[in-house]
Amino acid sequence: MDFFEHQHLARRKTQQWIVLAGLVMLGLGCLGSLMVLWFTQHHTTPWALPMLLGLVFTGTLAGGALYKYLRYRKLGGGEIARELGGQLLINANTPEQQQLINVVDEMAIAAGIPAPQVYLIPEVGANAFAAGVELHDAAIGVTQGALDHFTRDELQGVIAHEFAHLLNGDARLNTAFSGIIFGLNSLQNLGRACLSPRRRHHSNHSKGTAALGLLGLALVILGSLGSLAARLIQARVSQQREFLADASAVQFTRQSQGIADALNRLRWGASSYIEHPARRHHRHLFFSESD
Amino acid sequence: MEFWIALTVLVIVGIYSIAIYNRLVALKNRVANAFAQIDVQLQRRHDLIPNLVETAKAYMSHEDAVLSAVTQARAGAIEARKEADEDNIGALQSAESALQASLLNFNAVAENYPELKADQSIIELMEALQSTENKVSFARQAFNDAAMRLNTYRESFPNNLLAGGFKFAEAPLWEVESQAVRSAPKVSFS
Repeated sequence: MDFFEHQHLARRKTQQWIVLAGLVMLGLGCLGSLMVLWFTQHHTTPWALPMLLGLVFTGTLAGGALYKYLRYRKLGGGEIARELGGQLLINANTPEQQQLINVVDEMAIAAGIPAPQVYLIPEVGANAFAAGVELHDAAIGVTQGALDHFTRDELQGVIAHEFAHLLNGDARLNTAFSGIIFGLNSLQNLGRACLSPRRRHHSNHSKGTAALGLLGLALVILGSLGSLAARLIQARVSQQREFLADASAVQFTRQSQGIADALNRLRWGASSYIEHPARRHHRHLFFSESD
Repeated sequence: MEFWIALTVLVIVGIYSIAIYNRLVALKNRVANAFAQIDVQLQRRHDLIPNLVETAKAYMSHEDAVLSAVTQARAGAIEARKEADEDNIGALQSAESALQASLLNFNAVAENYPELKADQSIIELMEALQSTENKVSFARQAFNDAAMRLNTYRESFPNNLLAGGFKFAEAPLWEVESQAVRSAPKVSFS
């Protein structure tokens, strides 16, 4: 199989996952309806209310996901890097940064694609990722820890691995997932906002507060389920693709030592932990475990 | 009746030939483009070397032979680069091999000069040279891939009938450098 076939497969797989994520969101919405119905069964509420709220739940989930995905598509993979605290690297300030820029340029020649933007992520853990919907505005993020820990050959192997993700269409798939996972997490965020004491203090009417509290509770429960679904999806996506990217990395660099040494270094000690809270949306992107 | 059959066959053969010819031209241009990519990187390498030699002189004044070998090899490579194009890479290939060998020798000798290895501008130059070297080798892979694709196409039947007639020469492959470059540099601990 060549890269084009992998791209095609990745695209089809993306569509399948999007359908699945849509079903999960619809299910959560129905569940939300039932919960509201159950909460309000002792009162005389019009039947349309639970239905409406269910639609609102699903709409929030899907809308959040769609909003994020379209944003990534418009702004390019760099947007994900920026969410993780990354800085666009254009002119190197240190020899290590120059090396990173050089390695990316080399791999662009080896892979025969335009060089992606390079983002430096200020994290101590050694990690890297590739993101972006289209090849021409893709981005590669590399942590400071990766620059500190990896030798030139290891860095080359890691960057080649990320280039393979770009070429295989994995980066596109993963960027879509980042959007979906943002959507699945959005209900939880909304619920927390409803339950937050600041808000409760603000509206002092007991009835309104109770309704808002109930709504918040429902949102938090649904949101937790959504987050759980997100975690399951994240855990499920990647394994096979990682092996493929490792193999492609060897194909680009024509040497297997670099990527092998980098993986060994991570296995035997070097941390790949990402501190930034936005990692919970982007776990599936990372070269190595981010938490 | 025979006339029409003959004419139809002729037209079909003509269209088929045009398609083959155009494909040959496209493949040949791709080889030329891939060669241009190598050429850009080689030029960059040639531009970097004088800086390297100048900076290194300050630290290894007793190693004139090593430094002048690099300078000479560079001059040879520049000459060869002027003559070379995608059909004619033999001289450039061996000149670049010689340059590569002299640089490896330089690296091996530089191991004995820790101050040189610690010099900031030398570190930057070495990184730039290494990166250029990698780009050359990746561009060379692309060139060989393009050359191989052209060669396979022009040797297949019936393309070979046309390729011979229109003088589409076999594209040369850029072989991996001589044994001197492949073998790791000797590091002495004396």
